[in-house]
Amino acid sequence: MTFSTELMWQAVGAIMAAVPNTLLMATISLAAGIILGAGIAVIRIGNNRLLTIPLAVIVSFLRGVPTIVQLFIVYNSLPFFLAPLFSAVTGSPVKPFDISPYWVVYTTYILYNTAYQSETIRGALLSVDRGQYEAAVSLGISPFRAFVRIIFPQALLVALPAFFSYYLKTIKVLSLVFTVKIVDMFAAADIFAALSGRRTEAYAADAVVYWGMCILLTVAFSQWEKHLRRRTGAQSA
Amino acid sequence: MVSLLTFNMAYFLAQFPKLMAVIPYTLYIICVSALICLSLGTLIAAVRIARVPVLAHFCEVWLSFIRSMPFILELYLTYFCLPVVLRLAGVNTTGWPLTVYVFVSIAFHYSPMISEVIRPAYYAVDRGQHEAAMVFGLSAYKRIRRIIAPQALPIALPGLVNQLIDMIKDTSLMFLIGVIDLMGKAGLIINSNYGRGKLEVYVAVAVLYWAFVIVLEFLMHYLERRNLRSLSREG
Repeated sequence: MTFSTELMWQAVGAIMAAVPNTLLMATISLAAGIILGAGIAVIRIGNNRLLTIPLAVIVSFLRGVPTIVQLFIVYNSLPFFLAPLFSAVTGSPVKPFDISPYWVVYTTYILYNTAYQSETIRGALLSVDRGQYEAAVSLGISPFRAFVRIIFPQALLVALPAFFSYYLKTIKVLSLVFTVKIVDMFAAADIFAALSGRRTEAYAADAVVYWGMCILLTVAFSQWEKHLRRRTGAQSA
Repeated sequence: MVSLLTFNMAYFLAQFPKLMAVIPYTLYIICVSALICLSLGTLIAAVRIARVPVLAHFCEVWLSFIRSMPFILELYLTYFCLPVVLRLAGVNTTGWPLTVYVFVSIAFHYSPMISEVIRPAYYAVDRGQHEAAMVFGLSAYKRIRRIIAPQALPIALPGLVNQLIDMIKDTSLMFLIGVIDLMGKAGLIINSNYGRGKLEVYVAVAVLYWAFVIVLEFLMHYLERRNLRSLSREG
């Protein structure tokens, strides 16, 4: 058995075709996760125990349970909720089996990102000096405005590197979606392996694509972050 | 509008005794993997701290490689591609137990990750401590064992526990190559019930993994608090 470089390049092509979909899924999951996570972080910083305790339990569950188990739980429950809802909305009967697996994927990965981003943003909010808030309020700015205009932007800048690393993490965790019939970069390699009967080339090609993409994204992110820091630094000076 | 979802509480509770049967095996996999990764990770950290010429660069490339890759791909590379490579080298892998691939893939992924926790912890110990130990004429082994490690370990602890939690969560993928751990057993239970009651079984599995992680987090907080107390006693 020999290693065919030509076949590996074919596999790289097949995997590249799945890259846009993977990046799209990761971007939407991360963006929604940041928005929902920010909401949870703000609530958890407050002292309302009726809200903070259930949220802490939910976040702990989402962080403590393997993503594949969560994916299977959503896959075996969400369509049964959505099917009656869709039937009522469209007027024609919809079976749970007809529900697109994208609903399952987005639900799972948005929840995944919400849990992790809420912790990131909570840490970032706590890292901003309290004196800033007090100074703003003493200048006559309303507490809400002080929070939204002064504390939040600074916290986002602190959390930025963590968002980037979670983007890469989400891309990696998306490799599990083949279990619910969605094609991402890993599933594309798996399909190529099954069709060509050559697993070695397919998985080696997948490793190369993941590695290359991770390096490219890391460089792009660090450039963008440098740019943002320079711009906000110039504004505040 | 009626939800089509059913959740049978009795069936859910009945899963726990069945799943408990594979917990010793799951814990065995986790403990052995953790020990392998900890020793290999320490070795890699030592290689990188000592800047061993070619090896240190190799470890850095290795780290960048595994960091960019999902664990499942490494599992498949180990399970499907390693035997091909070994056969070229003249090693016959027929009849090797599945656990070998489990340990190799986990060690391949998590050893460099753990070195990334240990290395900063080593550097976090004040330089003066190294120099003072040297002045007292302690051997290199004693310097590390008696002076550096006791101070670096508490710093490394949260990072190590986080890696351990990630590792436990990744062992849930082993069922894909046919290992009968918690997820593997869940699949067997579902198959023996003709595919019914999936939700109950997976929720039971989730509860067990959650319990693992919560116990570990409690343990970490306990150790951290004890460590803080002992530091304040000394200081």
